[in-house]
Amino acid sequence: MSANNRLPSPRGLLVDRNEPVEFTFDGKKRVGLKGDTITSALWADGVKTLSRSFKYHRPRATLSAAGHDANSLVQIGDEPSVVADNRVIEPGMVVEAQNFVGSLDHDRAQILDKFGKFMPVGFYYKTFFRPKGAWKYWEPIIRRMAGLGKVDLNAPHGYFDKQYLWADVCVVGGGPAGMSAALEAAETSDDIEVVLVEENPEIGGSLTYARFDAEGNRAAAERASLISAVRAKSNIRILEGAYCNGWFTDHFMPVIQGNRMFKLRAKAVVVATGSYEQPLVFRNNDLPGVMYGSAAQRLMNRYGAKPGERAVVATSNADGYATALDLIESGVDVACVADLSSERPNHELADAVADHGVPISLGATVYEAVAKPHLNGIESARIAKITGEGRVADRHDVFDCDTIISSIGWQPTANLIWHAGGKTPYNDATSMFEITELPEGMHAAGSVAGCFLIDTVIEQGRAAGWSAAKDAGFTKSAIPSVRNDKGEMGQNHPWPMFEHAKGKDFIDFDEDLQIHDLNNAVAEGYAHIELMKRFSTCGMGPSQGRHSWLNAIRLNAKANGLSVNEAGMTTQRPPYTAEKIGVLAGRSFEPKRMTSMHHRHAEAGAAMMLAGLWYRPEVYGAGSDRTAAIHGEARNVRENVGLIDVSTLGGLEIRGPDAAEMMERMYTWAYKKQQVGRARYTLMTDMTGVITDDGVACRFDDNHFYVTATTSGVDGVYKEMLFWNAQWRLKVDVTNVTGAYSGVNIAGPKSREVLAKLTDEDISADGFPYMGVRMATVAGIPCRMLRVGFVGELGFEIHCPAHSGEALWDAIMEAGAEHGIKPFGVECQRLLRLEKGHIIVSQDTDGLTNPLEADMDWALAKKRPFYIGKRSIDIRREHLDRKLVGFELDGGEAATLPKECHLVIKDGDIAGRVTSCSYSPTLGKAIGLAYVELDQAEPGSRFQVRIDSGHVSGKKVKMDLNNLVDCKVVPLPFYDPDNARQEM
Amino acid sequence: MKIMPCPLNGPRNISEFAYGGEVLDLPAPDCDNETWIDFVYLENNTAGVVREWWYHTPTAYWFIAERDTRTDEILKTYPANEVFKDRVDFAASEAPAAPAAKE
Amino acid sequence: MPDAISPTDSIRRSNLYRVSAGLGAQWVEVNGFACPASFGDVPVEAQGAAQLGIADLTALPRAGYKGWDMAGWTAGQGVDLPEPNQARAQADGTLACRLSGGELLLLSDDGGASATIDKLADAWTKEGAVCFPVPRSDTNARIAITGTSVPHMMAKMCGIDLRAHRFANHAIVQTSVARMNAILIRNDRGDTYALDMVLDSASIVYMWECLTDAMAEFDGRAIGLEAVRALAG
Repeated sequence: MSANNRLPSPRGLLVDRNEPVEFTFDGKKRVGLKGDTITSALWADGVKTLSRSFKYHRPRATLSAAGHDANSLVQIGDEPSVVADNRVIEPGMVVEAQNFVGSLDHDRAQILDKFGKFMPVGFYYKTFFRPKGAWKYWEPIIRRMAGLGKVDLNAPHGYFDKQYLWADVCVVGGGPAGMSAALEAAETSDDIEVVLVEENPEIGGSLTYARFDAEGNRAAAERASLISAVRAKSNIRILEGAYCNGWFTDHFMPVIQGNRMFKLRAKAVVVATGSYEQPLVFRNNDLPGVMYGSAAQRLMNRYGAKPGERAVVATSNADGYATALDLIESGVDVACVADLSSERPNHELADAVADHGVPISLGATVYEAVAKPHLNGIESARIAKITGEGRVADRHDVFDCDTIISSIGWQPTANLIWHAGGKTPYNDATSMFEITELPEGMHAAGSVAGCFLIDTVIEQGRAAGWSAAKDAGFTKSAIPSVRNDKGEMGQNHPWPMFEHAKGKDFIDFDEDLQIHDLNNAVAEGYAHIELMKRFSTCGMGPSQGRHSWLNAIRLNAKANGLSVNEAGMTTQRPPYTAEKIGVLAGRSFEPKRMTSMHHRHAEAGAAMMLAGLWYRPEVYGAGSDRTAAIHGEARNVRENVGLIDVSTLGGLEIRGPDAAEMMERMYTWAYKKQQVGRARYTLMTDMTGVITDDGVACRFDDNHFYVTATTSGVDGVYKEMLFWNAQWRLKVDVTNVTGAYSGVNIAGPKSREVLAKLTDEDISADGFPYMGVRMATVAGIPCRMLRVGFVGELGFEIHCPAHSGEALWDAIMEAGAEHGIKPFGVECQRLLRLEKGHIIVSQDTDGLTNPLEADMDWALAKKRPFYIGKRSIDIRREHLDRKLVGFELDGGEAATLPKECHLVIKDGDIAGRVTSCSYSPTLGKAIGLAYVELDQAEPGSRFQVRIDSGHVSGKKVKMDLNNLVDCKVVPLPFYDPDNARQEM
Repeated sequence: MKIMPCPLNGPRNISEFAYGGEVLDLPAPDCDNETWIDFVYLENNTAGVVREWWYHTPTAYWFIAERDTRTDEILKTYPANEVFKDRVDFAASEAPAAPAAKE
Repeated sequence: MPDAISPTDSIRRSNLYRVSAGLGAQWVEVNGFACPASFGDVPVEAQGAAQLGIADLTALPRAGYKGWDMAGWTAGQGVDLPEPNQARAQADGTLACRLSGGELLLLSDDGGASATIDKLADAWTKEGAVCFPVPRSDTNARIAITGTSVPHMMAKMCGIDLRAHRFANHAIVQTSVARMNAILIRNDRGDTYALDMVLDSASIVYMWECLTDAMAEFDGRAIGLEAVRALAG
C-alpha cells in the first residue's frame, strides 16, 4: 500500500485506518481501508485510471468521485458496470476494468483516439450501413469494441425481493437539508412516521466533504449535531445505501437498498437530493487528474486520499476556494487559482486562499490540460484570460501540475421533481435551472432548490419538513422562517466551455462527445434538442446527462439562436439511475392453483399443463410416445371407463326469485322453463354477439341454478354477471363457488357399473336419465351428480366439496380397478370432444365468433326481447360470411395433419383457418374443425389448407406456399351422431 | 402507482382494480341499429369529468368513479346503487325493430 | 398428546397435508380433518409463534352467507354484526367477519367452537331466502400468521399497511397477497398480534411456499394448532 496518498486524520471521515482491506484490481493486489470506495482505495494506492472511454479508449479516472460519470464503471465478478465511486470495497473483492483491448494501461484500441476526426458525430449512422449487408459484418465488432462490461450468462440467480413501506413524510437525501427536513417533520408529533433515504452508506451529505468557512469547522459541527439528532428520533427511519429511483403517482416511490426494492408510499415528500457539480470544458478535460472540486473534497475529506501533489484550481464561485483551502491543508501545492470571474471575490474563503500566497488569476480559465505520454495524466495546465463567451486570449501561462480542479457550477438533482411534473425553467440571471412549481405534497430544500449557503440550507430543510408534515396531516406552530441569502457558494458560470482548435474538449464523457460534435449535429439539421440528443447520443450514456446536459442545452440554444428555455429540456423519466433487472423482478410471484387430486395425477405419472393458474394433467405416463398414450386413454374411455379431474371447471351459484330471469339475460338459451333436476347447455355472448363462454346450467330448485363455466372464463363470467346486476337490481345472488367444488367426470360404457358401487342413488338409465342432475352421496361424500359429458359416452360428472376431492378420486379409482378404469387427461378429452363435434370456447372460437358462425342457432332464444348480445346477433344474422365446419382428411393415419391456425386457401387467398385437428383412433381418420366461407360450408364441399411443413403424399416437404392438403366438409358430430352411446 | 378510493375497501393501489368503461345507459332492445352500434362500439372519450365503472377484484365489487380524464384525478367514488336505484326490466316488444327477429 | 392419526384416514383433507407431514406434523382430529397439532415441541413452537409463526387452520369450521338482506336475516338469528370490513367475536367464540354490506364470513375460534355456525345452518331455508350459504369450508383454506414480525413479513407480499397501529384488531382487508386474492383478518391471540388469512383452498400450497420464503429473514416457523391455542393463553 502506498502511504504517500493517504492523508492523516481528521481527513478520511469514513475510513477506518485500523482495518486494511485487500482486494484486486485488474489482476493486481490492492489494499484500501474499511469504508473506502473502490475509487478512493485505488486512488490512495496510486491507481487513478479506472476505465477506458467508450469511443476513443482514452484512459479515464474519477471525475466526480460520486458516480456522476461513466468513468468509474468497473466489473466485479459477474456484475458488470459497478460504480467504483460508490461501491465500498470488501475483502477479497475482484475488480476488473472495462472497455479495453489488451490491458487497461496499454489499451491497443487507444489508437482510435488518433482517428477522432474520422469519427464524426453520427459516425455509426453514416458509415456502416453501406454497402447493403455491411452492418452484419460491423455490428459484432463494434459491439465488442463499444460495450461496457461483460454479461455472464452463467451467473447464479441472486435473491431479490420487494417490500412495501409506508411513511407520512419521505425525505430523499440525507444531507443538511434532508436531515433538517426529517427532524422538523419528526418533531411535529410522536405519531408521524418519517423515512429518510440516503444514497451513501451514511447520512451527512455535503457535511461529510464540503467546506463552508475559512476555519473549516462548520461542516463538522453541523454534521455532529444533525446526525446525532436524526439518529435519536425514533420516528425517523433511516435507509442508508438506498436510492429512490423514481416518483410515481400519489407519492409511490421505489427505494432500492441492496437486493431489495422498497415500494414506498408517502403522504408527502421532501426532495433534498442536492445537485451535480458540472465540468469545465477545455481541451483534455478528461485526463486522469482533472476533477471537480467536490470530487477532490470527497477524496480528501471522506476517504483521506490525497488528490495529487500539485494542483491548479479553476473556479467561478466560492466552492473552488473552499477546495483550494482543503488542498492546501492536505499538503497539496496549489499552483494557481484561475477565477473565471473578472472581479475579485468578496468572501473569507478567497481571502484565506490569498493569505496562503496562492496566485489568483482573475478573468482566466484553464483552457488546456497538457497530457503526459499515452494520456496517462496531466503534465501541465495552460491558463489564459477569457476574452468573450467561450473564447480566450492567445497568450497563456503554463503551470506544471498533476491535478486540475474545477468548480464552475451545479445542476440540481431534480429527477424526482421532473418525474412528478414539477417545473424548473432556466434562470438566465443565475444560469441555473430553478424550481418554480412543485406538485402537491412535494417540497424541496438545499442545493436542489438552488441554495448552497449552509445556514439557509438548514432553514430551508426545516421549512420543507414542516410543510410536508402539514401535508401529511401534522401541524406544529408556524412554518420556520428562511433567510433570504443564498451566499457565494454554488454559483454557476454562464458559459464554462472553451472550444479548442484541436478538440478533445469533452461535453459528455460517457459518449466521448466534444463541443464541435454537438454543434455539428445542429448544423446537420438535428437542431431540435430531442433530435440533437438522439443523433449525438449526448446524455444517453450511463450517467444520463448528469454531467453533460446543462452544457449541451446551452450549446444547442446558442447554435439555434434561442434562449435556453426556448431550446427546452428533454423529458426526464424514471429510473433516476441504473437498476438491476433482478430488483425489478423481485420475488416474481407466480400463483398456481392445484386441485385436491393434484398429487394423484403426479403419482400416476401425469405430464401437467397450465390452464389459467391451474395445473391440469395433460396426459398420463406419456413416456416416449405421447400420441400413443393419448390414444390409449381415449380407447379406454370408448371401450371401458375413464376418469378425468374436472375440478378446474368454473362454478357459479345463481340463487333467488330472479335466478331464472338472470339466467335468461346472461345466456342465450331459455331457462325459465327448464325443469328442476335437469341440466341445460349454456352459451354466453358479449354485447357484440361474440361467444365468450359455455357450460351447463343445473336447476336444483326453482330459485337455484348451479352453472358451470370454462376454467379460464369463470372469473370473467362472474364479473360480468355482477356488473349487469349492479344495474338491473334483480333479486338474485351470484356466488363464485369454483374453488368450493372438486369434480370428476367418469365416462365410458362401464361408468355406471363403477359408480353404482359407491352410491345408493338410482343411477339407472330411467332413474337418472341423460342431462339429469341431483344431490347424491358418493363414497360417503355429499356430491352434486350431473349426467352430462362431452366425450360422447355414458358418463357422470360428480362435484364434491373441494377438501374431499382426493378421497372421491381414490374411491372411484379403487371401485373401478376391476373394470379397468384409467385416468385420462386434457389432451384425450379434447380428442374425444372433437370426435363429438363440441367446440371449445377460445380454441374453436375467436374474438369475433358469433353463435351463428358456430352453427349454434339452436341455442339462441328467439322470442325473448333481451339477452346480452341478442341485438348484435340479430344484426349479424344478415351479414354472415364464414362458418365453423367439421372436416375430414383422406389417408387415414398417414394423412398430413394441418395444425391449429393453418390457413384455408381459396383461389390463392386466405378464406379461413383450422381451429382443431387430430387423428381419431376411434374413427380411423383425421378430423378437424375449420372456419370456411359459406360456399364451402355444406357437407361434401372440399377446401384446401396450406400447411407449413410435414408430409405431403408420403414425402417430407419444407415450407412451401403450395403445400396444400385437401379437406372434405362432413356433418357434425363425427362420432355417434344419434347420441346413442351417451344417452344409454 | 395511483390510489383509488374504493367505497367499500377504502384507498387501495390501482392494481387491485379493473376498469369497466364509461357508465352508459343500455339502449332499449328495440332501438334502431345506429343507436345500438354506437352503444356497443363507440366510446365517448370525453375530455373532462366522466363517470366510470371500476371493479375491485379481491372483493368482486363494482362501483362508480368520477374522474377527470384531463388530469387523471379521481374526484369521487360511490356505490352503484346511488345511480342504479330501481329494478330494470325489458318489456317484450310486440314488433321488434330489428329485422332479424324472424322465426 | 394427540393420537397418532393420519390425514388420509379422513375424507376431508387440507390441500397442505403433504407439506405439513413433510415438516413432521403430529395430528389432531378437528371437524373431520386431521389438523397439524404441532411439529414437535409445543412450548418452543409457542415461543416462536410469538415472533413469527404460520399455522394451517383449514380444518376449523367456517361458513358464509351472502345476499341482499344478509344483514337482516343474520341479525334476526342473533348475530352481532359489525360494519363492513370489520370482525366481531360472538358470545360462543365464533368470529363474524363482515365482508360487505351483504356478505358475512364466520370463523370458528381456535377451539373449533361453532355454535353460531351450526345455528345459522339449521335455521336457513330456501323458502323466502334473502341470503344464501356460501361454501366457505371448501372454497377457502385458512392460515393463521402470528407474532410481532407479521406486518413486516407481510409487507413483502401485500400492499396494505398491516402494522399494529395502522390495522386494528378485528379489522379486515380483502386484497391481493403474493398476487392471489385473500381475506386478512386481524385476530390477535392473547396479546400476540395475529392475522387469519382466508384464501383460495387450491392455492394454499403456493401461499405457504410464499410465506415460508418471506418469513425466513424473521426466523419464522410452521406452528401447530396447539401453539396457536397456547398464545391465547
